[in-house]
Amino acid sequence: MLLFSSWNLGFTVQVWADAKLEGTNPAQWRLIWHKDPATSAVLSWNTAEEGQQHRVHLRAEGANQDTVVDAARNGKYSAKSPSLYYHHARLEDLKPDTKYHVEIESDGSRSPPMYFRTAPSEDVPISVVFGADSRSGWEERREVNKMLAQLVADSYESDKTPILAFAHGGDFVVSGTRLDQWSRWMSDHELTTGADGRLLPIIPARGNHDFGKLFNQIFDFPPEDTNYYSVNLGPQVRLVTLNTETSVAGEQLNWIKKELAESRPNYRWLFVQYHRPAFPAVKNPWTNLNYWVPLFEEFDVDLVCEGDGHAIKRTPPIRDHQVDPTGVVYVGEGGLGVGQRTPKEGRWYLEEPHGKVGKGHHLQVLTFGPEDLTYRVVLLGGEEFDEHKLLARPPKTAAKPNDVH
Amino acid sequence: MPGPASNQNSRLWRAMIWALRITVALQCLGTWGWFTVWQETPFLHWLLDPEDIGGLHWSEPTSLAVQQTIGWLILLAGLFTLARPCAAVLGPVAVVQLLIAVAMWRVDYGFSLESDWLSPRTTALFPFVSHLARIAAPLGLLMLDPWRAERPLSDDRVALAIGGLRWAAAITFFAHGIEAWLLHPEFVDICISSSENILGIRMAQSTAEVLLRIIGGVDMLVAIACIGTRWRAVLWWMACWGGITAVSRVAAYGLNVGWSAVLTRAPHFGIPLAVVLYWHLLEWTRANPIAKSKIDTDNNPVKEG
Repeated sequence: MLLFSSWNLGFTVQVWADAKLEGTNPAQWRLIWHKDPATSAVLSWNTAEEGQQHRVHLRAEGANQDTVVDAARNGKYSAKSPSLYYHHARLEDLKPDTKYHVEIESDGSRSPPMYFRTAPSEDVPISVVFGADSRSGWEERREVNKMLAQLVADSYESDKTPILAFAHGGDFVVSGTRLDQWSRWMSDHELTTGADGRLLPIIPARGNHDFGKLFNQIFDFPPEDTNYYSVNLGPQVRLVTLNTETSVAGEQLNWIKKELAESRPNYRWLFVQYHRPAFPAVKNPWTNLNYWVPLFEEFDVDLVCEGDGHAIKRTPPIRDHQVDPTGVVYVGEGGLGVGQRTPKEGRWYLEEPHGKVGKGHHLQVLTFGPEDLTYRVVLLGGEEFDEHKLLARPPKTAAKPNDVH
Repeated sequence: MPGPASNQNSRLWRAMIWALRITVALQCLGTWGWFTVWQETPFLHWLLDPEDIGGLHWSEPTSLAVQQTIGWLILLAGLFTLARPCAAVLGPVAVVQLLIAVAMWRVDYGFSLESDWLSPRTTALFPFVSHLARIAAPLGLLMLDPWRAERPLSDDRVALAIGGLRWAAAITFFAHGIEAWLLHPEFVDICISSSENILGIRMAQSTAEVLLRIIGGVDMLVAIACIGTRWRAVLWWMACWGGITAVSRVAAYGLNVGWSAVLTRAPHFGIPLAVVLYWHLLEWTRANPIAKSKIDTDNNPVKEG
């Protein structure tokens, strides 16, 4: 185990990173949320050898005894090289807003002690970090991950809103079928673990470079899963993760319509993440512009997080292809290490003063409060690039989804 | 038996040459649109991306300027192709098409083939297969319609050109058949969107997937038949289907978005059309030995592409 030091934000940070991949030493761990984060999580790790017994020692804060959870899914990655084995322990029946101490064990080899916190069941302010595009710029990617660990640590100071999770908007690697690239990403992801062992849950979206079977093996999705799903980050905050790399106009469209219709009346904050942008800052609109955007507007989605452009953007609220205070705001575009592009600031939805664009490696911190949502862009190095507030929409009664046609 | 070189003044020969000229000109116009209007191309990403992931790591302004310049030059090349094809024009057009495939390979752009039998490094070469017709069209035209070359062209040269075009069309068809068979998500959405926009019927994803399996299977069979048989109906089918699939981009995305995607795919229908016209010429030559002998000056055996 190596310890890294970083001075990104002006003070020393120590973070766990780069656990050795040898034998059955647990390494490349990641905590994944794709069901109910208040009561469940998936703790995943890799080993270089297959091993026999893979399990997690779990203990709720204040409890005396560990519970042992065997890995529910073990296997060799489908890629031939490098030879790696995945292990997924599904932690169920957890208590909301509770700190859980964990140690991973594979055939007697143990990870360092770590911990994580489940999502709250009470309506309290929470934060989530959104970012996308970590496929290149590997040194910068490591720096951004270290900064992320520090942001999370800072957010648990008494006067701040805790960062619960990291929503990754896709393009983790360049070639989704290359396990060597994924392995490097997973090692770098260890850097998001805090110096005190705090694990940051990840909520992954698939990007256009993340094609192939490995994505589902790494993040414990079923083999044929199409990677669109929703999670509650609190009783009033729902995140819908979509997949621009499967059919946009087919079954996913039907699912979105049903999901948004059911969720909108029940959550104060409804936000969406996916990879290819409908309102791009750099590239051209993806086909979701025609299919998804009308639904986002119909069901008054609060915020949409997009990646792929390699820039920073925030649009004004948009409805019917024009600025409208009741519309939907689109943010993101991706900067977790990938080289930055020049945004096309002349596009109507990016023009100042309503919109804001820029470039630089960054993280986007979303804080969901009782009355407003605060969006902040933090550049690598700690400088704040943008801050914007959205007011909560008036409560809406349940809507029955019309047939998609 | 006299060779087909004897009929290089016939209408069918001229029709074949013009089919190829127009194909390459449309391809150039489409590439211009892609490079200068749409701008986001695998070529640009190759220039921009860092070296550790296969790119050249040029600056964004330089990359855009290079791409824009190539875009305008290729438009000019398209115009020259209509007026007078020559190596100085068609050679660079072929190189640009090859570079697009190289870029797709280097930065993993476009459809990604995943195979249990082939390594990711091997499957990454798929763009060279799926884009072969686009690379072959200008080369085929260069061989069949060279400037200042002695006429009639030798039978060997014609046979090599037609054979190359035939293989390129077949391989490209086979590659697209694989994409359809593997339910390329973009193809699924093209089926759904085209059905909705043209027929006003919302196609279920499951229906689109069944359709794509059929289309993919037929594409692969047709590609095999193109190489294994001399049925002209196969090439006519390829020309028509290549045109339909190219135009489906406009049907799905609209004219303002899809036009360049249609035109860059001109070789998908232009090459089969050119080859089938040549086969008709051969058939006509066999059926009209008297007409042929009047202008025949050598006794080369027939070479068929």
